[in-house]
Amino acid sequence: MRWWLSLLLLLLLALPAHAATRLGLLVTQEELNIWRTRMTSSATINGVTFQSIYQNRLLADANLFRAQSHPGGDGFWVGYTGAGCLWLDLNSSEANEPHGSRFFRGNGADLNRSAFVFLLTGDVSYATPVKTELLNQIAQAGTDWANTSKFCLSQSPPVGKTYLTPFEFVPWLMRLLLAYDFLNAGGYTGFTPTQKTQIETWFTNAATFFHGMEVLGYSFGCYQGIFSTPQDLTPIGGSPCSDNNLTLYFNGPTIKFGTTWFFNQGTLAPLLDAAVGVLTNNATLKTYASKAVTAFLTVGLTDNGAHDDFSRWQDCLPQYECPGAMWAHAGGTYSALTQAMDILARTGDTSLYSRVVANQTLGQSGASVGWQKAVTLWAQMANKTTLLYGTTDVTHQTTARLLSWDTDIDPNNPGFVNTGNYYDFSSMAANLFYQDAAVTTAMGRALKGTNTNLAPASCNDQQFGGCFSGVWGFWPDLPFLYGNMQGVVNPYTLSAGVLAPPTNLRVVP
Amino acid sequence: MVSRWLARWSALALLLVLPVLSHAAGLRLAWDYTQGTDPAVKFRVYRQVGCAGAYVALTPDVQPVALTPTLTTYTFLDSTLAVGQTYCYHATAFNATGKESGVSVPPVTFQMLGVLNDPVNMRGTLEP
Repeated sequence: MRWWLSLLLLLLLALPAHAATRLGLLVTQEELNIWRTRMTSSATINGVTFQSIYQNRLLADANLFRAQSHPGGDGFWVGYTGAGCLWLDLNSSEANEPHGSRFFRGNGADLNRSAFVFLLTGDVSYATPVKTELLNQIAQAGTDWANTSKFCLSQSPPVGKTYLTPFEFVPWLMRLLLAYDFLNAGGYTGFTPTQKTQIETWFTNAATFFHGMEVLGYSFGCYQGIFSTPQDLTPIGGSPCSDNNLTLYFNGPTIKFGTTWFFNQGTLAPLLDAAVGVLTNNATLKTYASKAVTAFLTVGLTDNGAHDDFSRWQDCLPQYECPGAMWAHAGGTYSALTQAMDILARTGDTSLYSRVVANQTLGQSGASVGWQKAVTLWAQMANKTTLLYGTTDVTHQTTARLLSWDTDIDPNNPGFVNTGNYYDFSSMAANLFYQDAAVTTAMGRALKGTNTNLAPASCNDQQFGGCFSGVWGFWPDLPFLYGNMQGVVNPYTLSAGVLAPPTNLRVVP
Repeated sequence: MVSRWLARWSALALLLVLPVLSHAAGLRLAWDYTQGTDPAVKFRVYRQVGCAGAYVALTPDVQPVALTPTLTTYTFLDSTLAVGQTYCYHATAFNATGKESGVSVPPVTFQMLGVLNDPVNMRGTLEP
């Protein structure tokens, strides 16, 4: 009898956390309550206390932002002020991008953290400058996404230029958008209804433009029916789509040319579509996001959950093999797809997170694949329970070429620089849904160095806004938000709650 | 579900008789709203002509950019009124998944007796 009682108790303890009350794109009331306790908590994640994370990685950055002159502080970008259409310059690919000063590719990360601190504390001195920056930003002629003479979808780029990629525009937009959402989630009352409409229109115009660019990009690819209704994931047959491309790792699959469209930069427009779609309840944008993610999950993964970005250890060839480049680029895909699925799942639609289908990726054998498989594989690589090497040379299966978080190679330095790369921390968010043991182990690992946002000794690439925000700097701080939260909160089963009726209906002059 | 709630509360309708409207723009309704644990994203106003028969949803839905969690007043303008007619109104809230709340109580009843036009062409003359 006691055995049965023990089992019953265990089953009760294992039940998912109770339903949640949604406050914003990335926050429920239950999570916010825990985050507020973490501000002063001596509990640890990755070997550091939550209190220290709050003080050193969130509040400190928010204070830097608050102390700036506004508008024109972190997050500001004058936009494209040149003549004619903005194209990607093949000779200067990072020209005309919204770079920041403190985090080169993380413009708006401090602004984002300031908004998050407002959410935690209710201190409007962290919200007001965010509002100032947002209103100033949407007034910039250089970021008027609806201006078709600047942001062109119906013209062809001239020689030496090509269609714009969402990188680095969308990561910057996401930092601003999430900051706006944090203010709303925290009950900020500083925006007028008109200002909110203007801000959300600006984000909608951006999402619409970058979706247009995404469609143009796929028009050169091998899957022409991604956004069709119903979706058609039949590839164009024959060469070049079925040609072999790059080998993902030692003894790993060689993906086909047609699969190379499903890589990190292709995951950004779907994320913006998901975020703006949910923020504004725009069904068209949400559908765009869902279709793009569905395509990636169906024809972009290998049978074991790897994808095109796993090949990026070859970026430094012919001189070096650089496993760190794989970890970073794969992190871009993981961050963007996880956040897109997470934002949609937090509305109650968990279909993308839970989608498992027979693989249709070119050259693969039809194994069951889904996002959990991809996330778990990456965690196993971080845990070194699955050993994949960034080489095709049988003699190069060495620790320095192991595709894992603490291996890196500086392509400008013939020596190896073993530090730490935390690009896989986006899986903390996904693990709220999957509660996967391998992911839990990987996410809880002890890190290296001082663990501040700008600490080269502990994080090898902090340019996107620190080491703890995902590759693109979407989250204020992943360990603070979602570390050790799996099984504690369930933001995907929304509370039936009380949908209050209006009161005091009356006639007014 | 909504019609059942409407029928239940219609007997409690309070009659609000305004003899005339001061201008021809229409009747402006206001209501207060505090978010519950299931957040609303928009409102719908229903009208019953003659305070009998079916309540019909008026368009468009009232969809604020974002509903604040604290008590806030929202409004709707009904500009399709006929002189001499009586109307009853309810309002409901919807969450993001389309679930509809119960109706506002009590309903508002309004009788359109006429339109009092605003003065026009006001002028004067200089006295010598």
